[in-house]
Amino acid sequence: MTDGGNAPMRAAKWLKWRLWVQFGFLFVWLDPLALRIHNFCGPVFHCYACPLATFACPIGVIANFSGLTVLPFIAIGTLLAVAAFVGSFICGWVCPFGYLQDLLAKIPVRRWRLPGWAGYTRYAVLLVLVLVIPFFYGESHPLFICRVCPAGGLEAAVPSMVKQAVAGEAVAWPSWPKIMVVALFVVGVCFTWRPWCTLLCPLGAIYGLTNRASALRLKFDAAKCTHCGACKKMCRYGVDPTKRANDTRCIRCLDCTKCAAISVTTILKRESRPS
Amino acid sequence: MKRLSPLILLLAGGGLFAYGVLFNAVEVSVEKAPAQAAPPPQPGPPGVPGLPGWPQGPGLPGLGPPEGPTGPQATPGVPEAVGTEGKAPAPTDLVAMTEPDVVYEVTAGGLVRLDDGAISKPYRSAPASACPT
Repeated sequence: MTDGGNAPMRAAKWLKWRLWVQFGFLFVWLDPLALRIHNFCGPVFHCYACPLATFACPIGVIANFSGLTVLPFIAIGTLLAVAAFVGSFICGWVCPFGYLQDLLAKIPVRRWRLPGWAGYTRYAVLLVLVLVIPFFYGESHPLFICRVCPAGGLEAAVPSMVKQAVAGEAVAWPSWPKIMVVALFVVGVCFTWRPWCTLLCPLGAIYGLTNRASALRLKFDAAKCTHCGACKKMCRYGVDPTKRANDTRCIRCLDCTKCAAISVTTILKRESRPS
Repeated sequence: MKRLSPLILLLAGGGLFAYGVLFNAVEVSVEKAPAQAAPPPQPGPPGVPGLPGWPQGPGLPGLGPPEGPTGPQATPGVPEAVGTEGKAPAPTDLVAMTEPDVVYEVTAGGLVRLDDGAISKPYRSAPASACPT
């Protein structure tokens, strides 16, 4: 077997460790050392109003800075620097909110695939809720991203409510749009895989744009393809790896690397020349 | 180009990050608790009553009519309030007066609540307004 033939096998071998890798990264994002480095944003979608957040949420930073009409240099710089290495690999293997959805996907109910175009709605969310509404209406608008973010609801509002209830204080309920979004999210998780990442995540939208430019990328080897369509069926996010292996909708869960024609490669690896 | 694109991204990201840290630090002041705002002003004390009108003069004898011209009408005796109305100014005005250097106001969000109302250091390039959950 050639060297290129070993690559997909190696990537596929890692797949069974994905949930454990995500779990391991929780020790970075959930602030076990109580560092609370909210001066800087992390590269993942994790609400920094969460009692256990090490870094600020990049989307929260961008939206708030949009409201202040200030360019968030540090946040954008962080995202670009991380994306330069791995692109949306962050979504599939590192993001705690993705991990939460992956865990919920373990509930054995029947799930449906969303249509392929659904992945593009994330850009509407990025444009409207993260950039335009904060810019023109500020953070007091009811559709400001943090006000309707399910991560904020689950990671910040719920723990805060529990804390208030335990302390015997009056429990401050979140706004009704937020309750509705959280409810929709919970329902959505029961019907499809990673509904937030597939449909709405603005951070995934940003990372998706860098998929074709990142150092780590997927490679489709047409010579090994048997046109069985298995890779397309394996992808839960509507991507056809035979056409665009580094599609913007890909979250790089690497499920498709079970197919021998799809492999993980880096820019450091030399392309093998056809003999 | 495929090999260069990550490098370009990395340089752009690193450059923005460095610029943000070095030159574009956004310092955010911490909101003062609304309880520190001054109480709304009370209505002022009663004003000085209006001066009475000119007395009606008796007129000069032998020249004009027996009664003098009617004096100007007296100001009604209703006291005039000196103070402002009893309406409190908008809170933003108060903030502007007491905190002229507030760059951005921390909203009552997660950070304030979770830190028990205390944010000890200015935040740099991260909004101090926490997720308004």
